[in-house]
Amino acid sequence: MKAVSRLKSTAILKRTGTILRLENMSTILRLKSTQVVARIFLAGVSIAGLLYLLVLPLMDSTSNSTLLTFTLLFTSVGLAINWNLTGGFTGYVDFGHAVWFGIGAYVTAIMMSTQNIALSFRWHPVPAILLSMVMSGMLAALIGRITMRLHGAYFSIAMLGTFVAVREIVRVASQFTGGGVGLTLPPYQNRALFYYLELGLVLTLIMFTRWLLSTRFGVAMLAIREDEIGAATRGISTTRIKVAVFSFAGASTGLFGGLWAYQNTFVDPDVAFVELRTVDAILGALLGGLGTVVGPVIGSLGLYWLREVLWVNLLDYHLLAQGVILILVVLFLPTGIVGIFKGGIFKGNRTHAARINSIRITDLLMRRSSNKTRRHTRQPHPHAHNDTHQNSHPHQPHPHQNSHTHHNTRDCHTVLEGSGIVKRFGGLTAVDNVDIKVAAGETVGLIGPNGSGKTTLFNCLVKTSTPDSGTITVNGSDITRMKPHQVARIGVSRTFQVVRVYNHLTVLENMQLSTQWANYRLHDLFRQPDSDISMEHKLDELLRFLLLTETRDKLAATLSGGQRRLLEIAMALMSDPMLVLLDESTAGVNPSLIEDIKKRLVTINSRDNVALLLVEHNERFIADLCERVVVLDSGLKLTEGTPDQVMRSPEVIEAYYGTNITTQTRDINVTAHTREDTTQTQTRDIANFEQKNVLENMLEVTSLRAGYMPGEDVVKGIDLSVGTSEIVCVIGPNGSGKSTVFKALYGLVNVSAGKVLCDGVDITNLKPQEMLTIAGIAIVPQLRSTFSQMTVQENLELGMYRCRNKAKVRARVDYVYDLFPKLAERTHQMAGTMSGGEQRMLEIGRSLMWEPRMVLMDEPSAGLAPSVTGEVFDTIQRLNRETALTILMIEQNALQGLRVSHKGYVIEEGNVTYQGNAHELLSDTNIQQSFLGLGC
Amino acid sequence: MASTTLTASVLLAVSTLSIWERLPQAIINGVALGGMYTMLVLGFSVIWGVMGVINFAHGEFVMLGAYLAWIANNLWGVEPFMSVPVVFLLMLLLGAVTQRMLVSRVINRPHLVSLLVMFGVAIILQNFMKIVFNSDFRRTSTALQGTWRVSDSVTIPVTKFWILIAALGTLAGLLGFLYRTRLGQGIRAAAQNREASSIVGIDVKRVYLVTFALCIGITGAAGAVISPVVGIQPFQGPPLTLKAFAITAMAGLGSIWGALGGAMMLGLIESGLATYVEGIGSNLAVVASFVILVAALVLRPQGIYGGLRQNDTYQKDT
Repeated sequence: MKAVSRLKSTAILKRTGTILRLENMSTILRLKSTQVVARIFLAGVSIAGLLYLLVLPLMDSTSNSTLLTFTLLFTSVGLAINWNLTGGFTGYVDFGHAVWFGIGAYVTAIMMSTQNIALSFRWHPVPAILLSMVMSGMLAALIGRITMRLHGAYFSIAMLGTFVAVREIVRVASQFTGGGVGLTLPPYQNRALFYYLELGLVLTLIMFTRWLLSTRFGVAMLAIREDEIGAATRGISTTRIKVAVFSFAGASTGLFGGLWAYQNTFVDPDVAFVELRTVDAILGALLGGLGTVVGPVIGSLGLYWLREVLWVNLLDYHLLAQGVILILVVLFLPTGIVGIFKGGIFKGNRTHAARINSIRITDLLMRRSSNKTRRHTRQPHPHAHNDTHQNSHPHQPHPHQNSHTHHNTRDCHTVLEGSGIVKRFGGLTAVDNVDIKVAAGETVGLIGPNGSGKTTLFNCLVKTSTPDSGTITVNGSDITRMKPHQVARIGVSRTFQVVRVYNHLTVLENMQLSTQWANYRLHDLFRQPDSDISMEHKLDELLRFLLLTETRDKLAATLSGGQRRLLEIAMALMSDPMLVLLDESTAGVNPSLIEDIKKRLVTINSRDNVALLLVEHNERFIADLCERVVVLDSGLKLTEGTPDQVMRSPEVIEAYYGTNITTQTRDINVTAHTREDTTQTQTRDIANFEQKNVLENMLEVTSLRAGYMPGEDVVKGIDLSVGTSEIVCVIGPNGSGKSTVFKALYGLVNVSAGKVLCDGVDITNLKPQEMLTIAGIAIVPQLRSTFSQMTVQENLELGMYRCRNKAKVRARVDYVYDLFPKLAERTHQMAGTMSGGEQRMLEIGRSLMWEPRMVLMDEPSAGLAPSVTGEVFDTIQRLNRETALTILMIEQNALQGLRVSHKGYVIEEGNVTYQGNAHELLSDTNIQQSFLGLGC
Repeated sequence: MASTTLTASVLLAVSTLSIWERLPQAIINGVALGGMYTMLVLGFSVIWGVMGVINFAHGEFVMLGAYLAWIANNLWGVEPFMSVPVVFLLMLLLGAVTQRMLVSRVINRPHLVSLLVMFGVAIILQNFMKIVFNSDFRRTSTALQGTWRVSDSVTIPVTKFWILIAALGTLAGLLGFLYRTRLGQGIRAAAQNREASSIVGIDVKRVYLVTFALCIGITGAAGAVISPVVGIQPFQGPPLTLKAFAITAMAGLGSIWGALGGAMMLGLIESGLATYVEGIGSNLAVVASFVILVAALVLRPQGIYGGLRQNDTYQKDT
């Protein structure tokens, strides 16, 4: 028998080989011959296996028990596939999936049982099993509506809870379920029927999954997995989609449950609700490859093989071994078996295992070339192929083609109006009764000191968070009760302060999933993402407009910070918005790119009449772009008016720029005059400094190389030196490697070559916690690093955590209080309740606790309002003068950073490109143009 | 299964009395149960609060502690309360080994990774204990048993009273350690801001090792302490984990007082259910904790009291 099937399989193997070669010639040509052989082999094996499964029940030697074993195997494969739909593709890891199996089993049992329970009818098995499916699906939808509001581990545990709770309810409701005794069903022996039924089900499920992933629905699922909030703000109805998937998986598992109950002819809570079924499903999907189509199948078969073939003599130990496998897979094989093969056999495609779906999308792209003729019949866009033209005349209004209706009805009516918006977090009122209005085609800036509630107001306006009171209207209709995706669909899109693009998807896919979802009816969801030609057209145009055409097929993760900002703006424009809310679109972007972003925004606004609402720290950006500015201060609207009016308003100056008014206003309108002024100040500083004379180098960095991945150094051989009592500032564009230098210095990134000497002692590759104790170098990192739930005093004490001498600690705390009287006033305040600037002071104060030789600061001005920035730099300069403190800082704000420094380094693409006295750098025209934002 | 015996064994069925007459006993039972839950939840809550790891094998560590107490009780007749120090030390060691071998590898990964790994540990421990001890229910015997009679209808269960005392003692000890010692301060700092902790010179790895070992020690001790009143069985763990999770979600991650409050609340709810929903109330206890869990998570994702960890910023699995 076996010999026959083997013969057959070899024949099939040959035949499939030819089919593959004919159909997929283009794909195969790109692959190596070994890969071709491997693919053909795999296809052959699976087809042979399938044939074997098809003929198995027909063979004489096959016993009923063999058939039953196989049927159970199909069940566990089916469960793994279903589990993978929510767990793998949508990112909701369900720890209680077996509950749907149990419910399905019980529904069939209750409908068919003759036992003396409250429901004493007896249904035919077909409707009973179908009812199982329907009931499980409906219950899954119901429970999913609630539990899917939770994320990550919370959802997992809630589902485990559902499982345990439902089992208890079944046990308790003995009138219907027979309680702990269980129910008996009429006997049934036709194993072959069930065998074929479940085999067919499994095959259908595989095909279904494959198809689903190629549709818009599938793209939406992946978007939810990658970033749910982002998905919602792009108009994807996340709740509906994830609950739909969950309820489909529930229904399908319920069907398997019903079939099982009928065959098993007996159910009780302990055999119907078995946690092991969930474990099997999870393990199968993980072992095979989470979020892949064939992964769960391969994984479940693999598990079965391990359990029934390899460990058949291990008895109880195989359950124990399952735990071991789970741990090993999670730790060492996170991409599963499919992942291993993707590195080898499928290398022609992408390597990331979680991205099998995108292969489908890319395949579709190839197919699109054949659609070209169709597309050319459309009227070509007037400037579709004129990139340079668009670049040089960004202000020229374009006749913009747009199918979306609201573009035709544009006038000066109010697009967005929020009135009386209040948002509280615990005791803190982040936004306090703010009114804000944006008219069609208007550009409005929203400014205010840090923590003044700008982003919170933003979140309330687009419903990413819900205001405690107040109303928001869009085009006159109330949206206060809308969900984020609905807001996106009526034409209000946004970008985020921390860019939210889908790193694991390509630029193209990112754009595809930001489409106007409101245009799609239900059946459109189940069509392929590129089936909408006009949308594709717009996509190409937007990519060209935002300088992203080259990156079209790159993973978003590989883009630079500025490009990611541009991509996010492009995504926001995909849905034909009438209003775009931009949250700090210039944060962390290299000044030269800021100009590009600005030009593009102006064009979007004037050409397409898209209203813009911007939160910004960069006042020049606001001044250039906005017609009107709204100022927030501690949650209250302070004033509004034209940029000029606002910048001159005395209350704004006081709230926003603090007392440092003179220097700050100079910063806002940098002119040639003030630039000279700056240089003069600097020269004076240097003169002061040189009087101190005698500089030994405290920190000496020689040809430092470092990076996040072996062989891919981000920092490519940097030499730095910091003299005693010197302030050194490192500047450079984003992504140039300056932060990596910093991380390499304090041990967060491994140094691959080079040396770091501190006072002649080698401190290369010290651990972060040893930097302070061994090298005596204190660190002020970029991200907020106070202990927010502890008092100022405790925070300072922790600066000397390693010192056991309490008196000494107390003395140092007093010393820091002397330096920072502001902190002394707040000894018992929780650090987290202080403003951004105060927290930065606390961080600097804490770094001084250990009497450090030198302090490393990573972007001391990051995330601070301009008035505070000035104060921070003043403090740095003061500390250096008063205590002769040595400071090395990395700074984005090159102008202010260099101004207080003695020496400067410019890092570009991992190398030092300029170095010298700070005032020399400040007056160098090249540097002025590229880093100080003074050029052009 | 295990969950029903847990509560059913604990609660007295007094059904001939009126609603008001039953109330004092229901409260006493609830507080007693709450004491037990406090003892059970502390280790889980602090591990989550400090390390951000959801110890999915929590119930299994309780089970191991209970078995250790049972061995001592069965072979040498050691009083379960007396075996606590030894159980604590043994479990401390096991905790340290687990941390070194497994948890340290997943600590910076998304929640789900640690959850799955600990799930694997749970499966291993359950089946290992099943192989060694089979699935029979076991129980330790203690001299501290019986009831103190307060009035005709109100009694205080002696064993559970001592469990409550033990729970309060552990709680006080833990509070003292976290808020009065330098290492405790370091642990709290690491819970709030890992990176900042390492730059002020705290060895975060060591802090995590201490935290995990200590908490597993406490968890094992909890198993030993409750062994006289709860059936010991290899598969008793998951409902306990679920309850610990529910209480922590209600109380705030790593919040010690919150743990006490949440445990008492769950105890009172379960006791109320068992007293007033006749016949099936004790079976519904686990349903109650599930409902509380989901309600707490959906309505108050940060927990009621706030804890060591202000909010749980887990990254999504990608």
